[in-house]
Amino acid sequence: MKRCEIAPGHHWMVVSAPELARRARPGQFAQVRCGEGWWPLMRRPFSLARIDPARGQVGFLFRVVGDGTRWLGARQPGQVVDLIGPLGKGFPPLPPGTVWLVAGGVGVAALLPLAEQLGSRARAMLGARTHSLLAGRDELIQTGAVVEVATEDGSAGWRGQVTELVQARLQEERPAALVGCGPAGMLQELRLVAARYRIPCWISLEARLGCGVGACRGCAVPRSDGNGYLMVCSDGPVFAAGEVIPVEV
Amino acid sequence: MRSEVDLSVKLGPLRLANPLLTASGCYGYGTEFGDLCPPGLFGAVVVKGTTPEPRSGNPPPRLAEVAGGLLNAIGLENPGLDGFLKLHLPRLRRYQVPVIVNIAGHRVEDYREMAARLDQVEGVDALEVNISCPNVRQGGMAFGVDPASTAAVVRAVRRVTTKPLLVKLTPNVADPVPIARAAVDEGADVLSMINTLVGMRIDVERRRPVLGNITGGLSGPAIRPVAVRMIWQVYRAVPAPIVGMGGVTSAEDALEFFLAGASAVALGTVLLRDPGAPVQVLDGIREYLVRHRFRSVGELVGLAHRNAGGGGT
Repeated sequence: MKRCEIAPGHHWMVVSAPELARRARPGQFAQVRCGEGWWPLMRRPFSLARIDPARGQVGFLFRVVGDGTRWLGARQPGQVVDLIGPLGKGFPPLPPGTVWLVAGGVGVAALLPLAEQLGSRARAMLGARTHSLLAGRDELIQTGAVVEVATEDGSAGWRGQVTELVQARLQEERPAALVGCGPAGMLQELRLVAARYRIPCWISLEARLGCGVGACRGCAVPRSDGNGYLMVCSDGPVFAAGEVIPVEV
Repeated sequence: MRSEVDLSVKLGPLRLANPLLTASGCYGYGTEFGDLCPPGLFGAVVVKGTTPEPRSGNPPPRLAEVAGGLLNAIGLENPGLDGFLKLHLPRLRRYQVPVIVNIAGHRVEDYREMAARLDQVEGVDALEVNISCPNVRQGGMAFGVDPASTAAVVRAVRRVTTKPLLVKLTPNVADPVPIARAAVDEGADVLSMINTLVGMRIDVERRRPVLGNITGGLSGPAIRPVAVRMIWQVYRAVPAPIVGMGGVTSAEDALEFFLAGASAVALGTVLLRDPGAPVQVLDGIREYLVRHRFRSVGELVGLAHRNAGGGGT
């Protein structure tokens, strides 16, 4: 395991896990033990932010938000991390043409392997509160994607929400698909934009997970059709944007 | 040495290859975990609470952590009895592990109807009557807190099935003994104890309850001493085998339950964190039996009562 802090409170961690790297697909996640005792009790789900079967490695990009991520962010090189994966359904085959990847904050993690897979078909838009929190920008650029940023305070790139940047660019051209990952509010906005412009859209959701495999039914997200719930862990974490209503975790 | 130790247990009319069951709700319908935790590891699989009709469950958030425990308010999400029989039972049967179906309802009639139907179903080895789900207004706990209502449900179910009956008791009562006694008097073969303790958390930043359902059921290591105490009480007073559950995470925990009076234990919350737990727990039980020269788990059941002296209950 190797780890570095790439932005204030944001960590990039690379773990040697050949089997996981070989089996994983973009959009999938791993459940990581984030403590030694009984606090925190549950594993924490993290998107696979790098899938590198050649080196037998997977990478995670995470922000410290509580005791679990604080513990994980304090792991030192060479230490062992207990993880289960790959879990969840990855991204479905996307329509041919340009795909815009829209990330809010650490949501970029889920989109990195997809950017890598799409290569020159990908264009990425990354939003954060301020420029120092634009974690994952360098990693995105390394995939060869065209990257634009938005900051709420205007300290870098577009001033405002990343979804506003998306709407501005939609005046100029139309992608074959939109793919988003970030806070629920941002995803809610993105799915409205996609619907308005009739662009196919997929979103990757965050949730507090229990088992991670669909057994405990803990990570319910409401279906848009009002017909009950889907499970983020086993039905997702990637959903067609029209399928679910993102809720704040 | 290994071959001298017998991990199989007798649980009323059931004979299980080992003393580990799954706690209803934490292991879905047995196939979700795949190779991480296959059904064959267990002496029996207890499936998620099943109701007559499908239920979509409670609004999220459904989970909240506390120190050493987990609050859940899933709300008995399940595909209904038909859905279970059609979708899940055939897949689970392939593993050739005993299947125990947990049934929940809000009228005595619900329990009776489900039991009558399941009585005819091959591949269902026993029923667990859930009169203790705290997360649904009519999820059975109203029955489980009162001896007369408990008796009514168990009597109705007993009349329509010859399959072994487990009755799952709630800890949300002052004294579990009268309820356990009522269940056994009406024909329960086995007592499962304990279900979750009702609790809640408040998000102080948002100044509102964390769970969508406001209250939830507390499980995990935090409730283990409560489970041990209740098993201890019921073992003394009621002549029926007990499946112990409530925060079992290790062989030591399981042994504590056996010594208090449980004939088998169920793993629940620990599976969400460590799907590999059953292997470790079984290894640890085996090692303990060898080290203390016991030949079977059965020899341990209730043994601590002999050494209890005169104090307490």
